[in-house]
Amino acid sequence: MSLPLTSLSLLSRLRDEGDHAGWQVSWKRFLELYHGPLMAMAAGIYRYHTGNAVPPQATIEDVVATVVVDFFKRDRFDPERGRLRTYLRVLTNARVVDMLRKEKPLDHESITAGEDALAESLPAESPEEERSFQQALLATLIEDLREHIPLRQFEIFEMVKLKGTSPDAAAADLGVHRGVIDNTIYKVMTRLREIASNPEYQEEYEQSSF
Amino acid sequence: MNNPLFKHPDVQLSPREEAEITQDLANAYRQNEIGEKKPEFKRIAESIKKKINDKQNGGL
Repeated sequence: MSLPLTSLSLLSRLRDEGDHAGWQVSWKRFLELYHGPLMAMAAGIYRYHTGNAVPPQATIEDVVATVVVDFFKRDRFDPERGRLRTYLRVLTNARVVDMLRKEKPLDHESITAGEDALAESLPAESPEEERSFQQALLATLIEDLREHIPLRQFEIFEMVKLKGTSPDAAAADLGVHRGVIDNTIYKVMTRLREIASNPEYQEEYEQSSF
Repeated sequence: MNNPLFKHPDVQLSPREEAEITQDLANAYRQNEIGEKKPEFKRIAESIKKKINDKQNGGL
């Protein structure tokens, strides 16, 4: 198994097929990209179900860990049927509800009031959650780009566009003419926009409609 | 849709839009790198490893 595969469509299909090392690489990459939005989702959903109680850090971290394991052990996410962010929110909501039921604290009376409805009840997406998810999506896009262009081109793109090195400094550092840097940036940005035009990215990036 | 990066590739972008894209990408890249170094990230990764091992040991 050649991993990590990071485009949205491939992310959804990563499965444990007996290659445990490959599986570990893929969940780690997924966690690197999406732990921010998952934590924001878990915290927002916890507050929603507990009347705005402050979520314990350990609880949120455990929910995120369980969601990632679930994501790679289940085979339900299908990009053609819905958005990744929706799928992750549903998974996260289910795990938060599970955790609150196990805890059964006195100040969580709301979770016993309507348990059946609870698992299907999702709060509106918070601005923090949306911002975090969009950043994760852009980071995924960068990873996708890395898989689709020569390493040398990505190196130049990374220096100039991601790390803020000036084109002149990049040219001097790499021992090439300034024109090589400009041409490469143009080519890479064109490729990036082509990848970003994939409907999956378009739909995932759209403003929340929850 | 509020990010010009997702406009159709044939659409000509203004210098302001290009600068906006560069800033968004750099922010995402930086946040991703920072996130990987946070203690919470390491704790979650350890927890996932444990859950995977528990499932494999319990399920095999």
